Formats: sequence, structure tokens, C-alpha cells
Amino acid sequence: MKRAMVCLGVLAMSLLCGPAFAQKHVPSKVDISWNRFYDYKEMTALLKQLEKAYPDLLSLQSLGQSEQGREMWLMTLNNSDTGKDTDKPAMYIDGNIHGNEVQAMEVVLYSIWYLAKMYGNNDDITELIDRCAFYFVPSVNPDGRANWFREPNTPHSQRSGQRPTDNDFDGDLDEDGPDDLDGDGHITSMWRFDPNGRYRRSAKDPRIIERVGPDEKGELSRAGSEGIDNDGDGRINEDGAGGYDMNRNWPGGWQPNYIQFGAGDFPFSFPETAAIGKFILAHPNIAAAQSYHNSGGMILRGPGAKFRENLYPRGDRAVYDLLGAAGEEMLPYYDYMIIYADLYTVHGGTVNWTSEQLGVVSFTNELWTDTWITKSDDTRLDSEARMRWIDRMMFGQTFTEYSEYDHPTLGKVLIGGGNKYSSRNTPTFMLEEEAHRNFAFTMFHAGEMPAIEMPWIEVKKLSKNLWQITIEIENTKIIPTRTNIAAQNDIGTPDILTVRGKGVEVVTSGTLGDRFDTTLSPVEHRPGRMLVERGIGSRSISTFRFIVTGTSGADVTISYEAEKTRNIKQTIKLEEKVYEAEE
Amino acid sequence: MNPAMRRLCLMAAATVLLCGTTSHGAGPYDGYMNNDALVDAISELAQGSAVCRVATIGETGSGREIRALTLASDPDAADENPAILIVAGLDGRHMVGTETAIRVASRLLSEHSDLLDELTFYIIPRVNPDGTEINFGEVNAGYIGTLTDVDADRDAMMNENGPSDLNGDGVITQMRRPNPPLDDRAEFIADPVEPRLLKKPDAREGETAMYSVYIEGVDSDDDGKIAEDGDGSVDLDRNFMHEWPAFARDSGAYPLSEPEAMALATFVIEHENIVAAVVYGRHDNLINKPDSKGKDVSGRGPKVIDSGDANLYEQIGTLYTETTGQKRAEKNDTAGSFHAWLYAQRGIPSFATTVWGRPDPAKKQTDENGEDEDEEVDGNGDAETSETDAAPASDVDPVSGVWTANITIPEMGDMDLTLTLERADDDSVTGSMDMMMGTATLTGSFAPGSGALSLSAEFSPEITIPLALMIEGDEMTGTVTGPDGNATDLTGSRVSSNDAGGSDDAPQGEKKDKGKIKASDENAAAWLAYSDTQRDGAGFIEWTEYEHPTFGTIEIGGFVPGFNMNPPADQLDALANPQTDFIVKLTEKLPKLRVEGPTVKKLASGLYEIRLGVINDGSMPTKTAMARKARTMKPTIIRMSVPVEQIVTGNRVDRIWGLDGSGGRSVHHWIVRVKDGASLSIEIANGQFGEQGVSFKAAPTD
Repeated sequence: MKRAMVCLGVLAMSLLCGPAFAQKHVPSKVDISWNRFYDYKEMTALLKQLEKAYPDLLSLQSLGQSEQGREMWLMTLNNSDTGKDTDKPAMYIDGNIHGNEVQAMEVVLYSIWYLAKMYGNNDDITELIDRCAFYFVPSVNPDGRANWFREPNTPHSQRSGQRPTDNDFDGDLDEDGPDDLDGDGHITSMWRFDPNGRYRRSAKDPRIIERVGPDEKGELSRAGSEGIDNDGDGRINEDGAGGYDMNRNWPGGWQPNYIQFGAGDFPFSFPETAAIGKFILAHPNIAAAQSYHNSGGMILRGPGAKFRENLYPRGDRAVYDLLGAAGEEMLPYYDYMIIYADLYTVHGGTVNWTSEQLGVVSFTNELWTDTWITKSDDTRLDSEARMRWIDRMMFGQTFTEYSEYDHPTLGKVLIGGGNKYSSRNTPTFMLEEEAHRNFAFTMFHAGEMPAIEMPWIEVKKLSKNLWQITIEIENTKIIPTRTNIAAQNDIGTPDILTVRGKGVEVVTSGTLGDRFDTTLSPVEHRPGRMLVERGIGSRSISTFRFIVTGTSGADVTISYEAEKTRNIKQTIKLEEKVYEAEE
Repeated sequence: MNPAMRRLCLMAAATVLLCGTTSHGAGPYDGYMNNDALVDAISELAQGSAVCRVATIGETGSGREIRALTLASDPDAADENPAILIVAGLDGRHMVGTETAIRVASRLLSEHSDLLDELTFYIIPRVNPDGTEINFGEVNAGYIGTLTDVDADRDAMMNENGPSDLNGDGVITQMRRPNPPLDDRAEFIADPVEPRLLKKPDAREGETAMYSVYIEGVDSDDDGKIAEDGDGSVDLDRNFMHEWPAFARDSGAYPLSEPEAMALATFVIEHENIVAAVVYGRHDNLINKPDSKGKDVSGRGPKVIDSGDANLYEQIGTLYTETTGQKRAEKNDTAGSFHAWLYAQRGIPSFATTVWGRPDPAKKQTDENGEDEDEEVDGNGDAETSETDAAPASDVDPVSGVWTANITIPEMGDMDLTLTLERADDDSVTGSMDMMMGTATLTGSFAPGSGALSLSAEFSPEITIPLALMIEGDEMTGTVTGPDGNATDLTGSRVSSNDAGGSDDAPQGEKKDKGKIKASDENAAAWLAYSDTQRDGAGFIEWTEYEHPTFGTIEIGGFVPGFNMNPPADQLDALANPQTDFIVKLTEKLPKLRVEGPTVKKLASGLYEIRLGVINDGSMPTKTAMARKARTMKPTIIRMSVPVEQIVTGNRVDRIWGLDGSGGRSVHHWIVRVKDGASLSIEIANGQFGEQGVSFKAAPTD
């Protein structure tokens, strides 16, 4: 955006004219329409095309198979000319762990597509890609996704993976799911004709079923979602496909099923979470994470449970707040929220694991909130307004008209209502905007993964063959090289600052408050290989001093290693000098 | 790193740094089965047996097989009967559990095969063969966990500085560094009561720290820490889900990160027929009553057990202590343990025992043969007698043991002393006296008739102080005549005796406990006394000076790892017999489901009322209170054959989440519209007790 041109000519003509944000068209080698959704098969095909089109940047691998045998695709985006992915700070980005939250996949796919096509055509993105690596899992729940597209569903069904599960404890698995009785390809609602019912069809719009007033007579009562009693136990739709929640199956504050519904028997008990967990554990270079969900327009951070509140030290909260504030600006109808405090308690969620157990700065974005159809953030839609918007903007496409149906056990019922596209999913004509805004926020997040440099090194001679080397290490980004949560809980490996050279011996070393500080806080042991437990903080400079012996002019190599950013190294000479990085 | 290489590392360290190898007596695992012997023992049990089958339930980190025995009359249908799971060997040091599991299996097969018609036993004798193997190596370092590498000091170097057997005694113990220099810090003193033990100084008593204490080893990576990053490992009994220690170094990267833990958990989850489990290991919930009040971190689960199961654990705990006679068991943190998970998340009643606890002190020194018997019997009664009777009439030696005494010196105030005395057969007495000025050597004699004890305390060849003492029971009074000829009073009391019946464990009445000075860690002191008096000192390496490469002169010593978990191998058979008895008695307590009815009442032509009862005749509940809450053990499912539209009242499918013990019942009631005389059936399915069905006619029963 900062490169956007302001048209001076237009400005001269009209004082009312603001800055224009537009950009030159950069074609992609893979044409993808962003005004539609893609099922699992189409997603797989597009991922393969992208990899083929951008082989220097993209590599597609399967992390394993889902419960039903679908490949768990992971796309790595890395420019190997600037180093191995594992040597760079990396961002892990996934979506669609809930099978019904489909557009999360499109947002991830869009991100891959946009980054790949812009590399070499845009300085900001080129720089970001050259510095960082990205790991994308577009669909964590490919089975749920496949079912949602293929089968009649509601906006909320197929959240679970597809491992057959005995939801109603009758010994049978997935034996009584919903049924598409009216044949519209969706699972909608059933209403029973009931003279004592408390609902009626609205006189203004018969598609609206409204509650009657206290002194009015109704005609309908709720009969649940569309279906029959398939197993003859007297209950309808009580045991459909799956019946768990993979976003409760991660080993961060994991709790058993009776405390946290959907948790599974143990963390990583599903093939999907196990495959991804294994990958993430093998990549300690992951410094940032985003998991896309729908819906509600939220930028969520942990903790998921109150008892983990104290795990987030003040320094980390400040980091989240800075990023979250940027997110609220870039996603104008989104709110930055804390999961347990502002939403509900979640044990064992993806970001709970990555942020609390692995020390990775992580967000979950809840895509879309349906009031945004109005493009006004203070509009609450009542039923009539909602129908109006559906009619005018969607030409009624997300609604199935009510029809009468002879139900085998309920008698005559009305079937109809919002179909599976009627809530949670971004209207396709707005999908590209939603994808781009979220992508841009996530790239902002990625761009703030730690980057370190040595802006200033001073060598001073103390006496013959005795030298003082003072080193500043600067992190120019918001995310520290080690989050406080990691430092406080012994997560991962501390950063390591090494000073060595031929014939050079480190006598003592330590940290300083700043370059003018005269009192060294020394390390007692192994002074030439300092463990920097707290890393380099958010947008800050840490100062270190080494007292070494060595002959004048000897080479000394200073290196700083950190799990979550690129290691840096500089060689200097033992002679009075100040080394300053070029601006 | 494979185990052989680990051994090599330890050995290499030992040979480089050491001055000579002197082997220390019998190790704690002498006579125990290593992995090869265990494989043989398992094969022997299964060989030619129609009712014992061996299966591999998984592999360890190094590829060793984890074996499970299945004992069932029809092994092919083993999973259809209710089962008891017996698990041992999660902790690499707990060898007694494995030995017991094999003996229990053997005796179940030889003497209780009648049980196998209706019950299945799954016995997993050693979950952690990798860890065990290391303990059978050249050096006993008390290896607990798996082979998973852990960067314990998080310095990006793996296993670079483990313990080393500096003194070459084949045991990793401790180092204590007296009066360390300024770059180190003293934090301990020798316990004044039992100077071989270390304790934190008590500033109120004017105690000043004297020793810094380390694991036996060196600082090979020059980080100022000794033996801080050795081989492995993840403790399997901290790798399970309940109260998993999230940020500990020995609990794994995530729950079930270890293949051994995963294999065991998977086995449990796949065997819904498990109705109870007995876990031999370092935990105990049979002698030490499990906490039934605390809550877990979420506030919604139990810390240890649900209050609804307190009675169950008390009942089985009593059964256990009555059957086995075991009186005490070490208490260990159960966070992340296998048995805690089994109960708190699966709902399976899981009984944990250490199998062996610290024996009572031996009663009589002269009774050479009595040692084994003595430590198994309840010695409390004998101890009581020593309190009232005159010393000579008692079984207990009135002299030998550790005494703390106090002398009042004019113008100097009080001074505490510790006397360690030993009486020989000829009534001569030798010993030592520790006091502020130093240690004195004691010699003298005892007159059994009068209780008079005369001792000379020699501080140096120049200073000798006569002590004239009287001993009555565990009290000592007397006079001390100093070099200046002035006499001062001395009072003392016995702290521990070489042979007295239970100085600290047996309830001896208030009188005895009052004023008695105890070691700061009484349990450790008692183990030490047991090692001294009954094990020839095998449990403790006496502190011995050693020239450390960087610390200079230090002392090496301490408890032998594994000693306080494992009895001498010749006691294993005797120990295992009551364990088998306990298992057999446990089977008698198991829930027993009985179906009563159905009773059928004709309400009108074509309208029948049916009642069916499911009753638990066993004394244990069919499901723990925890299982009913957690709903991980499947319910009993009652399925009526009449189609739902013909059922006037009642559910076509009913679920019973659990029945209490001793007659707990669930009655199911239907009114159905069926033709007179129609054939009906009710199916009763239960994950633990199999399926059964009842068929009947729509006709009145009596």
C-alpha cells in the first residue's frame, strides 16, 4: 500500500479526492477464480498446478492420510536461493480443521497463489519471501470438507472428522444422521403443524417463521433439522457422521472428552492432527501461526481456558496486542479477542498448543460475519432485513422455500429454510476481499517474525592482548526471538551467542543494560558460548560484552543462533574499532 | 543412542576418571530377570499352554518388543470376557513389579486356571525394557525412563554431560563437597541424628550449611553444572494424560509421546472388557489412601479420585493390606502416571502398588534366621513391651542404637550430643559420640541387671571423659565428669535402635514420641537403618573421600538407586504369593451382572407391561463413579425388540451407565402394543460382560 501512487493530477483537480489504492495487474501462472469454493479434489488439483507453475518457490508434500485416506497436503513456500526453509523464521498457516468452515481453505489457497505470483514483482513480498518460509495446510479436515460439498448438509454440519463415532452410546456408529427429505441438496429445518405451537409463518414474508406473542395463537413447533429416525430408537438425527472436534485434540491444555467435548481419547488421536503435530514438532523454526476458521469476524488469541491465563506474560500480551490492533484496522469488521474471556473455553485447540506449549505467536481468525453483507459495522439484521439482503444480493440462492412433507413419524411437516451456504460462509462475490484482507493481516504477522542484526560492535584494547568487545544485537520486529512464555517455561532452546577465534580466548562475558552501562552482569561459565534464555525482545536491542585475550589483529567470529530466526554471524578483528551496520 | 552405546559412555567416563574398580557388594537387581531372562520366562509360561498366549503390543524406542500375556480358557475369545489388566515395569528401576507379574501369571495358570473360564487376565510384565536394560548394565544409575533423548539443560547439546561413576563402584550416587569455595554454595549439613543423611540447615537451631551436593559426575561441558544432561529420558509414568506435567523435562513433548506409553494406552482403549487393573510400580493407592477431595486444573475432574469412589478404594485397600500384609509404600507424585490416567480418564478402577515396602526393623540381632520372617510380620506388639518392661526382660537390646542426649554444662548452657552405641555379646559397649566440638570414641560396659552403663569418651589421647549412665527403656540418665572433675547431668533418649521394634513406624504411644529427636528425613533414616541391620549395608554407599578433578577433595556416597524399590531376590517368591492371593480375592469382588425377568403383565388384550431388572451381585460397582462421569467405558445397552411406534411407554434403547455394588440395580419398564402371544426379545449388551438376550412371549408371567 505504501507504494501506491497518489495521482497528483487528480488531487490538483479536486480537493475532495483521497488517496487511491490500486495496483498494476500481476498475472498468475495459475488462473484461479476467487469468487467460488473448491472441494477437496479441486483443491488438490490447484495445489498441484501451483507447485508445477512455481517450482522454485513451492513444494507440495503429503503429511499422511486422513481418516478416510485423503492426502493431508502441506505446501511449503520457500526460496531455496536464500537458504533452507528450516534455517528461516517460518509461519505455519492452516484452515478448515472444521470441515464445514470451508472458506478457510480458500483463504489459505489465496495466500499461496498471491505470494507465488507476486514474488519478483513486488518488493515487499519478495523481501518477505526471501527472509521467511511458509508452511500451508489448506485443509486440516479434508474428509469433513469432502462430505460437506458432496452431501446434503447444514452450515454447521461436518465440523467433525469422519471417523465413525457412537454419539448416542447405543453401540452403533453414525447410524442416524440427517436426511435430505425434500431433495434440495441441503439439510434445512423441519416444522411440525401444531395448533399449540408457539410459531407461525410471518404475514409479511411467509419465508420467515416467527415467534407468536404471549396472547397469540401459533401453528408450528420446532422439529429439529431435516431427517428421520433411521435406527428406530425414537430419536431423529442423533448419531450422524463423526462426532468429535479436532480443534480440541492438540496437546496444549488438553482435557478429556467429558470436560472438553470432542477431545478424542488422547492428544493427536486422529490421523490428521497426528500428522500435522509431527510436522510442527519437527520445525522449531515456526515463529508464527494462523488457523483460519469461520465465523464471527474475530482475531482470537489464547488462552483457551482461565487456568492458563497466567501462562501469558505481560511482554507477550503486548506483542499480541500490537498485532491484534493492526488486525482490527486491516479487518474493519473483526474484533481482537481472547478465547476464554471473550468467546468460550477451549481446551486443546490448535493455537492453544502452538502458543502455550511451543511458544509460537498464534492467532485464529474467524472469517466472515453476515452483517458485513451491508458493509456497515453497526447494522444488526432482523429477519426481514436478512431476507431482503438474501433476495437482493444473493437472488435468494441461500434459501430453500418451505414445502410440506409427510414425515414417517412426525406426520405432516414443513421443510425449508437457510441452506448450507446461508450462514458462516462468505458470499462468493465477497470472498476475494475477505481472503485478501486476512492474507494481508497474516503477512503483517509473518513480517513481524523476529529478524536480528548486529548494528554496532565496538572493540576496545584494555591492555596488551586483552580486549573488550561490546556487541549490540537488535531485533527489528515485534515478535521476540523467544517469547516470554517460552523463556519462562523452558520451551525450546535458548538463543546462543558465541565468540570465538584462533588464538582468542574468552575470559569473561555478560550482558549490559545498554552500550553505556559499565557494570557487566557476568555469566559464570562457558563465557564464549552464552545461552540467552530470554532472547532478543520485541523491537529491542540487547547488549553483550566479552573480555577476550588474543594478539592484535586476530580474527574473531561472533555468531548469534536462534531457533526462530536466521542465525547471524560477523567476523571482526582485534583492533580498536567500531563496526556499524550500513543503514 | 542405543543402550550399548550408553553403557560405553558411562564406562568410558568411569575408566578415564577413576582410580580403580572395587565392586560394591550385591546390587539391588542381583538375581532379577533382565530382558533376555524375561523373554525366556514368558515363553516358558506360554509354551504348551492352551490358556496362555503371548502377543506383542508394541515396540520400544530401540525396537524391543513389549509383550503381553493373555490368560483365558479360550484365548480366541479372551476379549469377550471381563478382564483384569496387570501392568508392571513402567519405571526402569521397579524390577520387583516385573518379577511379581510373572509369578502371579505363573500361579494363576498353575493354581487358579478355573478362574479363566469366565475371566481374562492381560499381564504386561515390562512396559519399559529399554530403561530396564540400562539398569542391568555396568553402572547402576537408577535409570527411570525411555531412550528418548532429552536436552535436559537445554543448551543445544544432547546428553553431553551425564553422571559418571567416578569411584568405580558401579553405582551413581552423590557427591558432597565440604566447605565449598566462593564460586559454589553450601546448602546442606549432615543430619545431626543420622550424619550419613543430608539436610537443609535450620537457622533457628544455629545450623550453618556445610556441603554443596551433586550427582556423582564431572562438568564435562564446562557449563558449571555437574551431570546435568545425561542419557534420555522420558519417564513413562509421567507421560500420560491425567495431570500431565506440561513443561517438565522428563514428561515428554506431549502426552503419549513415547511409543511404550502409546502402545499401553492403545491396548487399554482397544480392550473395553477391562474391568479392573492392578499396576505394579512406584505408585500406591492401596496403602496410602488416595485423595478424593482435590480437583484437577480445570476444576471439573478429580485430582486423584472422585469422591464417589472413595469407598471402593478403601474396600480394596483393606483387602490388599489384609491379604499381603504390606504395611507401607513410598508416596510418589502421580501426575501423568499410567494408573492415574486409567482411572481418571478411562474410569477403570486401577489399583497401584509398590508390591514391596520398607520392612520393619529386625527384632533380634542374635536371631540369624529370623531376619526374613521378622520383616514380614507385624512387629508392633513387641515394640510395645519394651516400653514397660525392664530392659533385660525385653526382646530389644537396651543399649545398641542411636541416642540423642543433652548435657547441662555450668555457665555454658545446654549442649546436644548424639551417641551411637553397640553392645557385644559379652556386654562390652563401643560407639561414638557426636557433639559440637567433634566426635569422641566411646568404650565401656553394660550391666544388664541394673541397667548401668559406664562409658569413657575419648576426644583425643589427652582428654577422656567418664560417663556413668543408667538406661531404662528408651531413656538414659547419668552424669558426665569432665576433665576438671565437675560432674554434670546427662539425659538422653533413643532415636533408633539396631533391633528395636520400629522406632518410628510402629505406633508406640505418645510417651515415646515426645521429646524424641528424629532424623530430618525419617523415612530415609529408616531405610538406612534397614540397610545397615538387614542388608549388610547394601542400600547405601558410605561417604568416602575422593579426589575430584575440579572440586578437589569431596566425598562420594548415598543411597543405591533402586534399593528402596526392590527386595533381595530370594524374597521374591514369598512376596508374590500374597499378590496372587490379592488378585484372586479381587476377582471375587468383581461386579456380577444378573438379569431378572422379564416379568410380563397383561394390561388388556394387545397391551402388555414388561419389567426387566439388571442387578449387580458383585461387591464392586459395574462402573466407578468416575466412569459414569467420564463416559469412556461404554454403558450397558438394553434394546427392546418392539418397534418404537408400538411402545407406549419406555425407551426402545436404554443405557445403564453404572450399577453400584452389592445389589445395585436398574429396572426397565415398558408398556407395549403387541399381539397376544407375540414373540419378543430384549438384548442386553455390555462392553465388559458380553452380550446376552432374553426371548419371551407376550403372555403374563407369574
